[in-house]
Amino acid sequence: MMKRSILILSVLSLAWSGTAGAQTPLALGNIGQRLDNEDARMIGRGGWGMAVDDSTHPGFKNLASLYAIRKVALNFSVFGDNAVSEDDHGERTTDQVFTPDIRVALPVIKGRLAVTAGFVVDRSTQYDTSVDSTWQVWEDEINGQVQFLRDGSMFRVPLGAAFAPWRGLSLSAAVNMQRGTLRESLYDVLRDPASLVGIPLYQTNLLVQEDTYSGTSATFGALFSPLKGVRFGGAYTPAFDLDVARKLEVGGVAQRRNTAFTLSMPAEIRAGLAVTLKGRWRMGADYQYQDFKDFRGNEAWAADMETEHTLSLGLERHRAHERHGGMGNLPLRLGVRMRTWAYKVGGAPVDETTFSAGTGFPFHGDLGQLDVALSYSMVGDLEDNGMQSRIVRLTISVTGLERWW
Amino acid sequence: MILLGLVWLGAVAGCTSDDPSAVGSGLHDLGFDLVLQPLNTDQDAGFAALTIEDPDIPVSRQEVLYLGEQGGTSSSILVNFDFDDIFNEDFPESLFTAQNIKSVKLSLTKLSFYGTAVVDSSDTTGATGSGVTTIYYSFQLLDAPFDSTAFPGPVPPGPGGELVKGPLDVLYGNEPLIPLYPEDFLDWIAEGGTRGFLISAAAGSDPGLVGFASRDLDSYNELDDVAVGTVVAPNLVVDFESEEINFLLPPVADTSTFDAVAPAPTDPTDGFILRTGLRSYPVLRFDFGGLPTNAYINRAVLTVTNDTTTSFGNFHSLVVSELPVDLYTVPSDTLTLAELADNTYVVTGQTSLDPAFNRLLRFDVTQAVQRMANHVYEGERALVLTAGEDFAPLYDQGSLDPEFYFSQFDFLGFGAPDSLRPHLEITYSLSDSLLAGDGGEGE
Repeated sequence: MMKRSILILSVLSLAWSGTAGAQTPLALGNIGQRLDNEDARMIGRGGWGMAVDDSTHPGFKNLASLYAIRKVALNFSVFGDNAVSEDDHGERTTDQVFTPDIRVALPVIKGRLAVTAGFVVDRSTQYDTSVDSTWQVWEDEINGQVQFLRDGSMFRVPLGAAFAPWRGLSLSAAVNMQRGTLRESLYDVLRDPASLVGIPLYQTNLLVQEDTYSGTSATFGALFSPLKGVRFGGAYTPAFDLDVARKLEVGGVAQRRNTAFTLSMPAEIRAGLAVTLKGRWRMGADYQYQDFKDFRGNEAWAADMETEHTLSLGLERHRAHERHGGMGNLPLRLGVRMRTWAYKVGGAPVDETTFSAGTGFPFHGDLGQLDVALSYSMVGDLEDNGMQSRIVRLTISVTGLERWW
Repeated sequence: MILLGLVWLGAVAGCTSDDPSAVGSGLHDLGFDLVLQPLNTDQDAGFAALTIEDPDIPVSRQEVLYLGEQGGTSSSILVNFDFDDIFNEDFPESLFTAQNIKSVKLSLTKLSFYGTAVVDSSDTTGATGSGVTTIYYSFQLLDAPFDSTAFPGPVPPGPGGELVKGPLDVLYGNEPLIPLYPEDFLDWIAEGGTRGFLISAAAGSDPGLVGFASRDLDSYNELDDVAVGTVVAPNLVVDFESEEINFLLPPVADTSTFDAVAPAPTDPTDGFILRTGLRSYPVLRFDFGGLPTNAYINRAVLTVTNDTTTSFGNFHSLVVSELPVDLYTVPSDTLTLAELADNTYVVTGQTSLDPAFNRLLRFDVTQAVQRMANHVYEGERALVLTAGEDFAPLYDQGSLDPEFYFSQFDFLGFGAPDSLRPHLEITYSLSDSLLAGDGGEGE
């Protein structure tokens, strides 16, 4: 039954999801929006998960926490969101479905050593604009639109291992194959004048710039439990380089321009705390820091670079097994996340605040769980950034556990 | 709960987003340095007037016989009649006596385009078909049957002497019956053998080339309704006193002479022509030196001006095609129709163009100019203007090939004022990003 559910949800999510990820005009420039790629359990409680230690519900945010698994774990998430974006030109509503995260972990020595792999989208940019425009040539006034589409993501394929050398401490290391693409398409649609059958007399301009990223990074993690009910987690990703192959082409022109350059990505630090409270409750906090003022490789972006940092806070009530407990047995999660983006827009930093809530449904025999989270994000500020987005997102994650050997 | 979640995902995946708008515009880094640049290009030194020959359809096999003079081209009609063995059971030799022959006439069948109405005295060109060209028919004997391979060429010699009875009579209708002397006909059948005759437009006829059906005519749609049993070639028709049915003697050969054909100008300064019938197609070659590297062609329009005061003939399609310049020599050359078909790449065209009405002709050659700007071909290419040949099926209207009607478009040359001379109007855009730096490479 569980296998069937996982299969159905996997197929549906992959079928629905597209290449999008971020859908705010604030991601139309620079390095793009950092995605919330945690599973629905973490998102529901504000995003914290660096200090998770749960063999039946593993978290992949800190790979060091995977040491505890005793079964093969599969986790994937899919989200659907509705964004309302606003600037001086008005308001626009967009919808999308996306799969930012697919993970698997395998126990090697149960409770001590595990290996993991996956696919994680870290940054994304997806938005399009259309502006009515007029051009003049010969005796013709040409009416049309300037349309721009930015679409792409930076993702990684982490291959890692978690090991607990002794009780209360686990360590992890992962090699991340960093990949991604960023495609920007600019159309000058010269719509009128047109022939009697509606074919424009002047052909549309199309300029496409496509960047392909490739590189390798490493992430080192640790999970430490000095006291019962208190856990600390941390991860460090040293600075790394991304090789970028850029192809620029104009539709209809044989000549292309191929260039190559390197993006130097700054180091990233993540730290987290989880504390068990009274009863079924626990609370946690995560902090993420990446100083993009150290970013190099794109002079056009350099002036706007900021320090990206994220603070996640939340509460979680564990599920219970009370007979006739009903809804009271379900887990309950609440949280808030505050993030400052890696770059400014409109001369001011971009602040993103997300409020979230969620719950989950265990599979029979504790062989996994289906989690859902509903979140509301406020991205940017109309006054400071010239635009803002308000995003309602439903995230569904499936975690499956199987004894495959 | 799961169901609700799936419904939500399905809903937001269902393409419910608003259409792109100006929200968010102005943030992107990428910019197309779009300036629609107008460029007027002149011809390069590559003009050529191509004579196109179709070995499968020589003049003597054309479906139309032309009579008259127009635009420097003149033509008469030659016919050969065989007077041996003309008698049969229906028309025995005994019928062919001076007493029994009521009349002998030469019948012609005019194409409907050249009109059947009463002469319009205000129409002096006879070109549009709106009026009728008055022809005073002349019928004369040749010294010998004509050689069908000798045309276009001069009119063969003859002994002279008019064979038409009443040559200054105006004959109306689409089937003029030209009266002849019965005695002449009796002499011809008495002597037997094959005789050649010349049908020409006598002095006093209106200027204008008029087409008649030849013995090879298959395109009956080009004729008005004709009487039952009409054989549309030039025939000798004998009317007997004793018989209700006429005797009809068809020719064994017929042809237009095209004894004078206006030469196609090889210097395009003062003009150039596109001619059907005896095909002559102009080749234009333009200088793209003013076009920047890596320009994107938004539009390229070839403009030519047709002199409607001198052009003549029926409606035609005109087609612009690419032609390798190493296929021909300048300023003139002769190609077969097959060679032309094998080497052209059709770009665009227009249909139903009236030589006497359509003055400014503009052809969208954007794709061709973009190809040339991209140097996608080995060697240079020019633009050839043709009629609606079989190799341009989109513009090859109906079943008539361009040799059927003798028509001519007279185009103003490169010496004409700017707005009238042939020119390419190119509108292009440039991307500075594509041009910048030294990292560019062709692919």
